[in-house]
Amino acid sequence: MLRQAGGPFSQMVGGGPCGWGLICLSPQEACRYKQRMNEDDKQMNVSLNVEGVDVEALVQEIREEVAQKRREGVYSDARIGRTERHNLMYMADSEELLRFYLGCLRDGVYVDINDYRIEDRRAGWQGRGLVKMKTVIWKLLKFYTFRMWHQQNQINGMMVTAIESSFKQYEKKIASLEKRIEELEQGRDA
Amino acid sequence: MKLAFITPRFLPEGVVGGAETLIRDLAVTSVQAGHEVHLLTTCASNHFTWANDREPGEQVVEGLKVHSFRVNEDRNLELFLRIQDVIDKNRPVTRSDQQHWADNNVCSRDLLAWLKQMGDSFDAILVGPYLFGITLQAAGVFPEKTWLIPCLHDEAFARLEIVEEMFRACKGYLFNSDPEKLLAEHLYGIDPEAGRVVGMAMEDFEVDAEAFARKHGLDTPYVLYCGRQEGGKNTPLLLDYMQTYVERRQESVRLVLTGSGDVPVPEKLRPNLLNLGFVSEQEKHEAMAGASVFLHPSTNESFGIVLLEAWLAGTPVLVHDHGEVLKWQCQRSGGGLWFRYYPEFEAMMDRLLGDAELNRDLGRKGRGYVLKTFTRAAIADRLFAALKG
Repeated sequence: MLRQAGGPFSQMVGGGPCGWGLICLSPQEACRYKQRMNEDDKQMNVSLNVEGVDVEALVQEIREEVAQKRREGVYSDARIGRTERHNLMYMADSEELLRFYLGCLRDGVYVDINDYRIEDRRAGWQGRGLVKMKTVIWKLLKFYTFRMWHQQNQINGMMVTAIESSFKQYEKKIASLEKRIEELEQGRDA
Repeated sequence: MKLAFITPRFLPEGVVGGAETLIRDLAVTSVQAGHEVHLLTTCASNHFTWANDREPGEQVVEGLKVHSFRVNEDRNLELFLRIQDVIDKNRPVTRSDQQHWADNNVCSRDLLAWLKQMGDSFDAILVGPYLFGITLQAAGVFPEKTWLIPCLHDEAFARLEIVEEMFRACKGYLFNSDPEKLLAEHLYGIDPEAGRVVGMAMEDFEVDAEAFARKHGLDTPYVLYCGRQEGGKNTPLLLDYMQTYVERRQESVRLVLTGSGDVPVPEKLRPNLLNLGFVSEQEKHEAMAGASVFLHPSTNESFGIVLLEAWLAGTPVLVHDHGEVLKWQCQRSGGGLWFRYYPEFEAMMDRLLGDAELNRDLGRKGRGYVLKTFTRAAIADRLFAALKG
């Protein structure tokens, strides 16, 4: 199969919501900036995102769908918490995403010290022998390390609780300060 | 017009870094537009050693008069690396240490001497990318006719005083994207009218979209990443996300990687990973044409050449929300989506892999955007509109 050029492009210029998360810009500045760029594009006769699917709207739709699924617990999965380790620096500037990450942390906070099914890919007597040997090793390992892992889990649990509590306290504090500012502003305007 | 382009590396036959490729392309575009173009570069081809492995001298390549000069061999590498490490860690660096860093960076006294002697005869001097000693020094020779092609990133080096001084001194700037231009305006307070977004010409190609899967025996859908495999490009994040995606959603989808680098692969992703390392341009384009989605999670790009190539191959893309430039390309073209965290990545992958019509539509829009915006004629128009003011 040979891929050919897409269909004809319209001469219109796309608008859409100001979805720019540009560093250092207020939403108003970003919006003004995007408006200016749209003007530049118009002068350059560049068509923007005008035919078929509107990707800005699609991204928004998917975000709402994800938010709904999150509420339903679809993403309560320790694997997601671990997967976000490289993304944490990007999530830190969003309260919504940080709250999600704290949820992930809660899901994945405990080291799993339960027994698990021990297998070996080799068949026959060799495989069965290795499974028995691994089972003995695991039991010994568990016996000698149980105390350590148990304490580690206690520490992990306490730390997550402490982080969650301070997050909630800050949230409360910020909400009350915002309310106070609003009241003061209303008083000043009046 | 008589133009001089200055870039740290130029290989007549080979491929160098993205920024150098871009500068070469602008130079070739200028030649094809009928201008006299000289390209000043170094004799180095390896960006780790910067050894003078080519002979100095002049040659004509694609109509460009290429002048190669030796890199200074007496630079204090130890001092350079020590200061570079401090800068990289975002720690404060004195003005004099910044100057030591620039002086012991990749510089060429011979190139500078030629420029001082001959520079007067040029109508414009175009230099880049911004963080090389050659650029920092050459930009200061005739700043009143120097245009910077910075390929700027939001990083510690961009915040050095000497970089700011260079930006403020230059006549104008050629950027690759609006977010890059905005970053420069924010960091250096430069006049918005002095900077223009130009970009780079993209050559169209036609390939057999099934050739890659046939060659590598892939009988299930695959997603693709092409480029350096390193933390700076967010490859570890991509590997983690793909492992979780394969575990949670689709056991059959494969991840294909091309490009140099070595990042640890999560154990459970191994059966679903095909890491080819460096491949030819032809094979890369075939891989792009056959991929269901092109993934580019990097947040540190000033243009995104591979993204545009993926669109030319008709493949939709998925990028990181913090990758301002790549997201900007997606917003302008309508050829891709952007995720903030894993749940969005999963939902977007589900859509792009599960909805063939959406997949085709985004790929088609991306391709249309590149064919319209990054033709050689369009680039020449934007470049000379800028240079002629």
